[in-house]
Amino acid sequence: MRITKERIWVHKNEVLDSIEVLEGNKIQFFSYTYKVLSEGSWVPLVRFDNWEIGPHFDKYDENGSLLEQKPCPKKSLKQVAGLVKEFRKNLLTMDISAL
Amino acid sequence: MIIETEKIHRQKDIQNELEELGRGYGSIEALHQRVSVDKCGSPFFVDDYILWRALRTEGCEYIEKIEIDTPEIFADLSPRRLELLEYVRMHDVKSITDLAGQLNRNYKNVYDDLSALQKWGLVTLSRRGKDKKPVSQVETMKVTFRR
Repeated sequence: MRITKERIWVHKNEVLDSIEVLEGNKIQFFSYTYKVLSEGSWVPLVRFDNWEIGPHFDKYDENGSLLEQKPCPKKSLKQVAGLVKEFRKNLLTMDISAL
Repeated sequence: MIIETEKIHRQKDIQNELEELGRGYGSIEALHQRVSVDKCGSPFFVDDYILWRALRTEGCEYIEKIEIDTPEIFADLSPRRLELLEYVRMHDVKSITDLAGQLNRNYKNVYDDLSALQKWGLVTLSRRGKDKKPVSQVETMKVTFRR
């Protein structure tokens, strides 16, 4: 089993945190969470993961409460990092399932 | 300019991480229950649970990476701090006091430098009694220009 944890800093107060758990070459679990630093705490805004219901994304409000959850095609860390770097906070208002 | 770092954790590091999770949540069963009850709540519980479960697997490989794709890092990453990071990686340092002593530097200056590195995740400062033990989260560091 191989566990890779990665933090990508896109701004001094914004990160994309990733966890991937691989068994052989197969990804068992992934999560990619775009977070912003607010009053000293990291607050999630958008997250892609395959926990329990298969690949989906979650959107959170500025307090970290879940706003929306929808299935979406599986994305790689590279794809999500590209989206976050390009759209950053606008991701919250975009139709992510269409991306 | 992008900075990329990598650290392959040894068995001892994995043990420390498991102990840290244990201190934070009590037991993996307690965390599992929290994840089940709070399904739509904090995703951090899910990540910690998955990490904990995976790290308990015998022979697991654990790699931690950091990518810094913002020039703001250069406000904190002076040559002196890079030297400090390298020193912490290469030497057995028991505490900040010990590190300041080994380098013959003022405690506060060393503390400030470590805090700046900690902000970006390049070192961790784990509590050891009244002092803190600095641990480098970096084994290799690569700087590349944007394509």
